[in-house]
This record gives sequence, C-alpha cells and structure tokens, in this order.
Amino acid sequence: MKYENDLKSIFIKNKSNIASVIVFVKVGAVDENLSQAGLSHFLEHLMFKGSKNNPSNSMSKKIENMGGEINAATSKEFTMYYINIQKNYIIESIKILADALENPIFPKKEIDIERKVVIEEIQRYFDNPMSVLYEQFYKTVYSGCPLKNTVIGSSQVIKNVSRDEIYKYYKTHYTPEKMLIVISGAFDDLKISKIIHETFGKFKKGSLMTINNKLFNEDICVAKNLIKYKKTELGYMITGFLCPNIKEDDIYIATLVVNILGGNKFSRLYRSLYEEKHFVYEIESLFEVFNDYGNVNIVSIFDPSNMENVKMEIAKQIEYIISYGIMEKELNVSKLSTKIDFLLSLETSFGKGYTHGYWHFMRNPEFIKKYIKKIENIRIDDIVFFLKKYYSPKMILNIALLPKIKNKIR
Amino acid sequence: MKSFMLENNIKVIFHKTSALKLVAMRIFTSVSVISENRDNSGISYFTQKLMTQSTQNRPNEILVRDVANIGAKLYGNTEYDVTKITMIFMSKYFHEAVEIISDVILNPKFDSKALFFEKQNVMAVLNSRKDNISEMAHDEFIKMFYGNNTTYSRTIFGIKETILKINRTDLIKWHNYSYNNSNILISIVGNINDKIVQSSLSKYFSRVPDGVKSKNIIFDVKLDKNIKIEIKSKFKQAYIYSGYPACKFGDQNFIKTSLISIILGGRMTSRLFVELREKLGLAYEVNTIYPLRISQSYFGIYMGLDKKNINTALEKIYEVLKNFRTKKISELELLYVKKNIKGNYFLNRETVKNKSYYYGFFEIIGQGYEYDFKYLEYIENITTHDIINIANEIFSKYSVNVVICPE
Repeated sequence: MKYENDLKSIFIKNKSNIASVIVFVKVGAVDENLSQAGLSHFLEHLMFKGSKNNPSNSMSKKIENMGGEINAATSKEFTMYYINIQKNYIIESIKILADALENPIFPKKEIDIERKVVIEEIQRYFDNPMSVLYEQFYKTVYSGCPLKNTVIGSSQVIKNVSRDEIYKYYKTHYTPEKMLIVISGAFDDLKISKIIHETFGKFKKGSLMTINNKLFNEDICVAKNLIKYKKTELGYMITGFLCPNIKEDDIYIATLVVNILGGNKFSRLYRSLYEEKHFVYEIESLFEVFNDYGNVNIVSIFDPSNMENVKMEIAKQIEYIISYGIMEKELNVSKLSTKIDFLLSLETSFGKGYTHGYWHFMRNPEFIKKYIKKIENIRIDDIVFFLKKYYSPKMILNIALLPKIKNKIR
Repeated sequence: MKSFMLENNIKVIFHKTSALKLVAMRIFTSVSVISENRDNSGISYFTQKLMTQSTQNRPNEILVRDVANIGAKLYGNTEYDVTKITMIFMSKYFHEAVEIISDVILNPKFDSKALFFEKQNVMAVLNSRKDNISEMAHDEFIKMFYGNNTTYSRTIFGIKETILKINRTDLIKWHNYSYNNSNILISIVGNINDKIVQSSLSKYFSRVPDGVKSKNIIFDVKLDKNIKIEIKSKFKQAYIYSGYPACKFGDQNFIKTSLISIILGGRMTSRLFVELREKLGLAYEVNTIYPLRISQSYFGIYMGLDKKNINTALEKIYEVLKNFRTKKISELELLYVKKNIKGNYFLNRETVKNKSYYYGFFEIIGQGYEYDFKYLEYIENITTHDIINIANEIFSKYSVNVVICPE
C-alpha cells in the first residue's frame, strides 16, 4: 500500500499470537561520507533517547512493560526498527514507532552519553578478529564504491559530530518516501491501515536533496592477497569475489552456488577442507546482496601453517566445478537444503515480516513469490555459467588475519 | 501435548503444531558434563560430535548424504547438564529422519581417525575462545568460582590434558552409559500425525538397550571471602565478569532468582542497563546471567568497558545491588517485569526447535515437560517480599570478580 506522502506499507498475515512491526528506513553506511562514518548507526542509537510523546527511555519502557521487545539494526543500505509483541498491542506499537521516527528529541546530554556507548561498541567490535577481517574485505572488494564504508563507524566521528549535523542527517534521510512499514501477524487490515494512515501517513515529505553517493571504480577487484597481523590464536581468512546485484536473476543461482560450495556438511568445501584434508577448523560460504554489487565470501578458520593449502584448495574446488560441473544429485540436494532454509526463515512472525519486507524494500518484491520456482528451475549449466561469469583467478580476493607470533596448534 | 513410553521404557513427549510442515526431533541424555570427572573431562562433547559423524552402517560421506537427501539438519549440542542430538526436517520425511537418527544413537562408529582430527579441532576451539573477550572472561570466571574439583569449572569442551587421553574405548563406554533406555528422552514438536510418530519410534527406538541410570554429582560452592582477579589481555576493551552463588534449578527460590535476573539485566529498562549504560555511558554490553543448572548455579553480571572506567563500574554495580536488596521494589515494577517475562515466554516459543528444547529439557532434568506450562503461573505468584528476601540472600554473600584488562 502506498500513502499520499509516498510512505509504503505491506501486511503479512498469519495466525500467530505474536506480531511484528518493522520499519525499514533507506539510510545506511553507503549514504555517509568520510566525515559522517557511522552516523547512520549513531542515529539509530539516538532514536531510542526520547521523542515528543515518549521522552527519555519511555519508548522501551512501554514496549517492555507490554511484554514486547524493541530493537534496531543498521546495515550498509538501510536501518531497521522493530517491535515483536503479542498481537493485541500492534496499534500501540505502531504509534510508538511513528512518534520515535517523526519526533525524536535528541537531547544534548543523551547524545553525549550515547557517544561513549557507541565508542565502546566500536572498541568491542574491533577486538573481534572476524570483524577486523570483514571490514578489510569490504574495503578491498568494494574499494571504489560506498559499500566499502563501515557500518559501525569511526570513533573520531562519533566523538565529534555535533547535534546540528545529526539533526540535519536525520531530516535528510528519515522521510516517508524512504520508509517501508511491515506488519506481520494476525490483525484487522482496516484498523491497521487506518492507524498507519493517521501516524506514518502524516509524516511530512522530505525537502532536502539526498546526495547520490554511488560511484564505482572500474579497477576494483583485481586479485589480491592481503595479510594482516593481530594478536590472535588462529588464522582467519575470507576468500571472495563480486557477484550480481539485487535486481539480477543470477541472485537465485548465487544462493545455490554458496550452498553447494560451503552451505552445510554435504558441501564441497566442507567435505574437502574439513573432512578429507583437515586444512580448516571451520569453513562456510555466504552470499551477500546489495543494490549495486553482491559478493560471495568464503570464511575459513585454520592453523596459520595451512593458509596456502586453504587458498589453493578453495580455488581448486571452484575451478573443478567450472571444468566438470556437478552431479544432478548434488544439485537436487542443494535445492532441497535451500528450500528448507527458506522455510525455517519464515517460521516466526518476525522472520516472515523481515523476509517479505526486505525484498519489498530492496525493490524486488517478486523475489519471495518466485523463489521456490526459480530454485527448482536451476540447471547444472546455470551453476557452471555463474561461476564462469563471476569467478576468475584474476579477480579473487584472499584477505587473511594471522597471529602476530606464529602459533602452531599442538 | 502427548507423552508415551516405548516398549523399552523410553519416554517420548510429542507436541503437534499446525503451521509449517516442519518437525524438530531431539534425543536428550541426562549424561553430560556434570557426569564427567577430572580424568574424562570433555568426553560428552566428543561422544556426541563423533556420533553425528559416522555410524557402523553409514561412513561419514553416506551419513552426510542421507541427511542431505531429505534436506534435514543433524547436529549435537553439549550443555553442562544435558546433551542432545537434534534433527530438523520436513514432515514428509519423518520415517527417513527417524531411521537416520536412530542409527546415529544406536550404532555410532567412533572412528579412530575421526577422533584424532576432532581432538585437533577441540584444541583449536579452546584456543579460539582466547580470541573472544567475553568467552575468555566467562572461562576465567567459572575456574575461579567453581574451583578445580567440579565439572562446572571447565568448558564443555574439556581441558587439553584429558582431551588428549580420550580413546575409542572410552567413547564406546561413555556412549553405552549415556544413550541407554534409562538415560534418554525423545522430544518431538512438529506438524505430524501422532500415529506416525508412535509407529515410527516404536520401530526404530525400541532397540535402544537397557542400561544404568545416570548419577550426577550435586555440589555446593561456599565462598569464604570476596575474590577478585585481574588478568592482562591482548584486547583493547576491558571486561568485568562478577558472580554470586545462586540456587540450582528445582530449588524453591529458582523462579524468584530468575525473575531478579530480569529486573537487573537483560532488558533495555533493566536496572543495571539503565544505570551503567543509559545514565553513565560506561558500556555497550551490560547484562546478567543466571544459568539454569541442576547443581550449584551463580548469579552473574558482565560488561565490556573502557579500562579507565573499571572502578566506577564496579562501585556502581555494588550500589545498584545494595539499593536493590535494601529497598523493596514497587508493586508496579514487579507487575511490568512479570508482563515482560510473559511476553518473552511466547516470543521464545514460536519455533519447533525452541519448543522441542524447552519441553525436553524440563522433562530430562526431572521437572516434567508440564513445568513449561506452569512457568508463568509460578512467576505470577512471586511477591515484592519474595524479591527482597532472595536479593538479600544472594547479594549479601561473597562474590567472585574477574576483570580482564588491556596490557
């Protein structure tokens, strides 16, 4: 449904007693420049610091007192706020979220306290080897475009950003045409439409121009082997390459490809590197999709002495598929596994709301409807063609994090 | 909700759902870390890990293939008091799934080569815990709190010295002890007909042999002074992990203590969260933990913070706890906490996986699956008077405080 102010909503009906109210806002790390690194994430924190009708922490208080949970998350391309609650509190939840997003107060004192919290969060994040590794991976694979930007942000920016800058950023991005509200659960459509109309539907349209931050260098993603050193106990590595963006049909194939490579214990990389050759302690492959570019990334954890073996074996397994394809049986097993993962993601009200909401918000609402059928129709040739198209030894990235002092596992 | 016994006296609890065509099946055993001793620490984890790798009928690649052929997920988990083997699958593959999981339970291979490599993996897991500040703090805390002679003082993976010694014969013996008819329970939740459940389980699980009932050691921790240790680490962040002795599961004060953990931590409006994060900005993560244990438990408080704020945070925690045990909470605060617990109870029971866990867990540790349905009633009966009494009992005792500090 679309409202006069260009706000959109979708309703996902089910019989559950639990309901979810989710709001997607089109602002994330890709919208930031260097002097704003982490502002979307900081703003997400500050939205909980009080609004016109719910000052201080009374928004969280109201929701928790009704037996619900409220939280938010920032990503590269959007920020999401959600409430999971018993179905009889949907209307109250919509009102609370609407007030928070339309009338935040941003008290100066609260901003200063929250700076310290976020700086602490940043410190914690970079103490984790996987976070360090992923940040380096994004910086490298997306070196020419804003997808390289860190979501969590820079301590310097968080420490110094003024209330005026925060407010301006909020006014620029928190506008109804950049929002989608998703209601998932058992509810009366008319009542809910009316309340959305009276709340989110009355948000004023944005007047400030959004700067299009999307630039891309042609020279990105040439093969790179980067090693960083940190005081860790084990070796960590991401092997990855660029993939289709969210609008391309190849994304269905991408979900199968990562399943075949490292999606479960039956997958090729797991069998080869974990079970047979014992090169890794853990290995898994993932497909991340964004508006401009997606990526396939393979995460491995290993004894540092095995790093070269891991690299070579991953390349060998991918190149084998390109040369010889896969068995029909393997493809079918992968399809089944992908379908059950999809089913499991729809088991909760939040899962249903998030999955449908995400694909609507990313302007590919047909994805969900087509998903099972598209997966069913994928052939071995499609898998081979996908890898030929996106993978090349000239474009593969290996970003590793190794112990500062070589530490062999005994 | 139904429960029935198989011919060989294995209890099955079954709850039929009506939503998606999915089933979660869990085989619980009451033999776990709590049953171990200093010489075989880690054996419960190894046993379940190797059980899910190969059987006498299915080498690893065949087991993995058969599980994949029905799109199922098969895995094991070891906790301190129970271990479980879990399978999640589509309803239409019920018979196939039961046949596979029964093979895993009845006929594990315990391949020596696999054991050798699994030992290396566990060593790596133990090392990787040192790359994570919260795991490191937890591991140091349990060592200090439980002392050297209790099973809860070690991680579920065991310790390096014993891991290296565990052999195939040890695993076979431990398996016979753990997965016999006296010690296992089957918990199933899903959209499947109960007759199918009964016939399939009778066919495959009636062959589980007789065995000795597990005897778990129940122990107490008595601290005779406050303990504080500071550990230098490679991390930039500092970390506090503090804990007080608290009652075990099944004790009359258990539910009251779990309610206290929600008043103090775990929510955006919990007292420690508000005082330490919202008012002072000292931490991003601040929370409480009250592990559900059949022997001595603890009431833990943990937070990550900047080194310079350690003393301020410890003083503030002390102040919040002192205030909590000297001033009764209001009826209104208690009412809202109860409402929050009720809401979260339903939120946590949306999936077949979670439901099969809660029902099975309460049954295997002796409270009966009905405990899960009575839980909210027990919560409802708690008074403000109960809260202040229990708070005084817990927080006037000595505590253990682990502080991880950057080098």
